[in-house]
Amino acid sequence: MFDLRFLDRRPLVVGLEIGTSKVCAMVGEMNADGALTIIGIGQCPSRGVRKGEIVEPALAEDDVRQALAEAEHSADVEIRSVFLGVSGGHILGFNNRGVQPIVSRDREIGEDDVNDVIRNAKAINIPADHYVVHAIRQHFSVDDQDEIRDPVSMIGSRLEVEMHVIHGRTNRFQNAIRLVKGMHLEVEDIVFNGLASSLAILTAEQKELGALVIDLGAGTTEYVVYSRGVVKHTGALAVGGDHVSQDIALALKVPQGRADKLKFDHGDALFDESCHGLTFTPQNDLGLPERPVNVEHLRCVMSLRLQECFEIIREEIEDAGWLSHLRGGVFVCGGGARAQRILELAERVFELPAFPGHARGISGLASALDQPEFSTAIGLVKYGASQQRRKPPRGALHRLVNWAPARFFANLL
Amino acid sequence: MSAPLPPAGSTPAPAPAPAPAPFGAARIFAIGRAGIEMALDLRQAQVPGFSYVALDSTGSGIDTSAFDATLLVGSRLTRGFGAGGDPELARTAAEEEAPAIRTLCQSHPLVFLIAGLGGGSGTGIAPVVARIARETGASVFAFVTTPFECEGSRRQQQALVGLHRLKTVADGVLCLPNEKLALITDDQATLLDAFQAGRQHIRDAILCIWSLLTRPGLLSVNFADVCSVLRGPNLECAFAQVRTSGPDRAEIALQQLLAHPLLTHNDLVRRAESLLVSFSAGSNLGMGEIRRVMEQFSRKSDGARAVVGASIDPAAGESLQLAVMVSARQMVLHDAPEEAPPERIPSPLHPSSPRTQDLGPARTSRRLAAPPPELTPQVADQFFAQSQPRARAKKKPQQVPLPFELLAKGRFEKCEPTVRRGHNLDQPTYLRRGITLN
Repeated sequence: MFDLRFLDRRPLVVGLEIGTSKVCAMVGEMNADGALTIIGIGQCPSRGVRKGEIVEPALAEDDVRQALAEAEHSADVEIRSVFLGVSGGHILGFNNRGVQPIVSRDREIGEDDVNDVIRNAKAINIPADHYVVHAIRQHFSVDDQDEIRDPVSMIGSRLEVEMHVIHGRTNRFQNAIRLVKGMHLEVEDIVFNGLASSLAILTAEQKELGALVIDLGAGTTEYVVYSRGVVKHTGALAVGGDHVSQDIALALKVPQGRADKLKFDHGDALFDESCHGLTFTPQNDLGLPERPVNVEHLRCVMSLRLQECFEIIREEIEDAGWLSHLRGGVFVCGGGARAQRILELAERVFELPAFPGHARGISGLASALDQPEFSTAIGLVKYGASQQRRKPPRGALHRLVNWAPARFFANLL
Repeated sequence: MSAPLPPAGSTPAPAPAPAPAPFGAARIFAIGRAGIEMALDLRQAQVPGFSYVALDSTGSGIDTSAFDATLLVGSRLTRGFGAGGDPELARTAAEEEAPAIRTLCQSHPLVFLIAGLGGGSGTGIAPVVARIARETGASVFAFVTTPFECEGSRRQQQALVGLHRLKTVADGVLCLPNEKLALITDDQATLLDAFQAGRQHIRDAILCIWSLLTRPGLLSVNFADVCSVLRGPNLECAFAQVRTSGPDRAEIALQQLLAHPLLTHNDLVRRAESLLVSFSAGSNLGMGEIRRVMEQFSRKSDGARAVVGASIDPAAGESLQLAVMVSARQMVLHDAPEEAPPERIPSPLHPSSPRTQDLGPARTSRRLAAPPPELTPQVADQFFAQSQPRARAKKKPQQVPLPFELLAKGRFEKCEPTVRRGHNLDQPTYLRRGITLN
């Protein structure tokens, strides 16, 4: 019998993160109510990426292909389009304000005024070679009355809007986009990785209370500040887990690969007296002891690096004036969240409660949901789902499928 | 024209800027082939009070009927065959014709120069004319174009040197780099379209300044205001003008101007030091319109000095003409002419500098007698560069990081370093903080 089930396929949302340590493709499926389930995941160690940016396209392409193939296999679907996560130290976020005088006779704010004020706010002075990844609407204010969500049909003489704009170098984004397009895949949208992670982790209440999400990746550390339900500050720092390994390799005079392993096995984000004089004697392949490794030095170096990283973020947020707004606490995700006592370090630096970042509001593969490394990829799927929900119903094929007689026959099959 | 020397010490200083008197007429000097083309275009606007003079170093191809006077520069030196792309030759020729040029400038308080820089005639003659006009007491505005980049770096260099000379002598210089024509025309445009757009732009600019200076304004702009925007050797100026009508004409004009490629290019509006915004409309020009436009401009330009002009044009009807002149400090170009010390550019304002005197006779005699082989201009250039090392000495000595690497970059070899507040974060924190292990 002719198989019509492919028409009944639920909409897929695929998030692709080309990270510094791994390439990860996450497949989500939306059911009729718009709820999201993770049905497949594919990942591959990444070789062609440094500090969140592609430096060796050929290697990166291989890795992406492998991750996507694995995801297709695990979800048993064909991937046609992806939401692509982007990162890198060149990405900047700032707040901008748009102003529009209301000129209509009755001073009633209409849809046009709202569109105009948003357009004014988007007309920003960013460098010519930069591209705006996100322009997120925060709040409207009418005649100095702040915190208005929807100003349409209010009366006023001056409408203002606060926007958060995230932008970065166009060419760097193009590298990633071209790589994906070269595989005959559509890129539906590009998403800042930090924003994606925060979408995966934070609940609406936490956003309302004010929260800081830190995604400690291998190449970059992204941070996003939410307050009163909206994004207030974003940034990316091109320092990450690779730097920790590099420092360890230099301090202990061991190769990079060994440094990575030592970091996982013996690393600690906090340095205290308890490890004074502690050493560790690794064994080689034959079971013979090798030169002992000074664990005290390792922890000292690692702790200094992670502490500095948090301090830089704290400085940035303090300068922007959002530190006192973070009543919900600090959420740490990404591979760096696996470091021992990283939350304690975050609590010390930020003087705020710190929590591990867990993906929320999504169901599916339990293995994926509970791991801090996957928060970005899950966030990409979540972002994609929210975009798809906004889209109008699809074209003729969809209407045909939902046409009552056709559905009747399909059910018969 | 047998006067062999430029009027070396005859007028030591340029005349002071004239009082802001209403200008009744303007003399347009069209210099070089491009200038003549642009002047012919301007002529079609039929502005009363404009009189046109054509100056070129070749006699052929000038439609003498279109001009009130023509002057063949270099009838003796180049025998009317053109300067062959050599601005120095054209300059020398123009200096020879100084009395004639002076006669042409006489009794004209306002002089506009139109030229295309980069070739021989425009680049060489325009600064001389500007200087002589200033000496006769006229106010001089120059409207010039610079060549396309594809015309070669030599023309580009010549144009930049010429532009710099012009800026030091004229009251104001408005330059349209032809390269920017690509911004105001689309990619499909023919060469004719592109040049037409350039001519149109120069014409708009001249007419705008003319109407600012002559039309009685409600918010009037005087000569000094215009000069303050356009004067200065290190300024980069741009002009844009739009005409709109309808109920939202101010908003539409504003949007168009803020998106205007000539203004947005290089972030000019944001970097602006001074802005001149001119409104021209019928009697229905609203205060609110001016306020809104100026509010946006001052917000976009980070506190630049703004000059507003508003005038009522009875013929405008419902339409609004909004013109903006912006000037910003020039971005540093690689080996831009201002990098060169002032001594190296023989400034016509100081014609008695030893260098110009030394080289003057050598150049003029070049075509007549065999030049002395040991002092070609190139050799002289080298000689002067060697004997005046002050250009280097002026630069503040700077400590640069030593080239050797302290640490292997390891994993970050292929990417740019993460630098924050002067610290390279790729280096281990413990090293940067000076913490010793053990």
